[in-house]
Amino acid sequence: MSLFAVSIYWDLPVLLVVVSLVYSATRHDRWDRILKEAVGWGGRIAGFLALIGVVLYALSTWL
Amino acid sequence: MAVPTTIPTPAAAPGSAPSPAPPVALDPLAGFLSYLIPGLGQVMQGRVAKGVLFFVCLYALFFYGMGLGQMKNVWLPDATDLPDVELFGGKLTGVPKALAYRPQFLGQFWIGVAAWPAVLQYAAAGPNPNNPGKPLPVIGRYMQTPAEQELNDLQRDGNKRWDLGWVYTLIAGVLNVLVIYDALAGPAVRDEDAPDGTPPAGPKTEGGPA
Repeated sequence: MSLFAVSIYWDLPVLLVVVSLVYSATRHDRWDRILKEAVGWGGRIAGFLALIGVVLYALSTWL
Repeated sequence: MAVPTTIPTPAAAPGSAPSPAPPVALDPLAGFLSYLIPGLGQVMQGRVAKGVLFFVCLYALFFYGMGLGQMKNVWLPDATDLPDVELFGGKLTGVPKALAYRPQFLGQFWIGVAAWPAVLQYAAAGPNPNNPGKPLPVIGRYMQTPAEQELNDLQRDGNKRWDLGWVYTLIAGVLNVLVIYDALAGPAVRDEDAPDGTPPAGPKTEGGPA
């Protein structure tokens, strides 16, 4: 499947993890809250990217 | 090392609504240190683990992005001989004109010292980017403006990774602005004491314990 071929999408997790962790660490000083917020932001960003991916896949497949 | 302190506020009267938290005193030195090297200001304030987190994350993202772009996606061109750029009726010159031709550097710059080789290369560059001057001592041609042909090859053969790379470096720089603010004024949300009773290690509010 082309999704698992060498793709720029495999570079995205680095960005997702760093943005989530750094943004959360600038909002809190307590590690439990930093990690909780980072997981939340990571999930939201990943979900948004996945949604965009599904929409683009559907458009390119059925339109 | 001293960390920001709090401004004293009058105690709330019994039965009244809790008074808002006192404002945080700014720590410009820590902010500047965090500009130079991400997280250095937090380390100076005693928030070592958080400083190391910022350093590792932002340098990893910045250099990962540079790696995606074959280490040739951070530069500031000498735009002296390039066509004029007008803004609000005036012609741009020098650094503003260079930034108009390479606006990405406006974000990349905020990663701090890691982007300074590009500034050095800009200062030493000749006006023709296709005929660059001699390599600089120590840094050589690192972060020098690529020749047009080389740039075309990178973009054509890079499978979009060259472009993705400069986006990563730019995001790393912009994230460091948040880190600078954290060093300057503390985290956006002031947490209460930790569950075990120890106070948070972040910047103090004015008038509070040093």
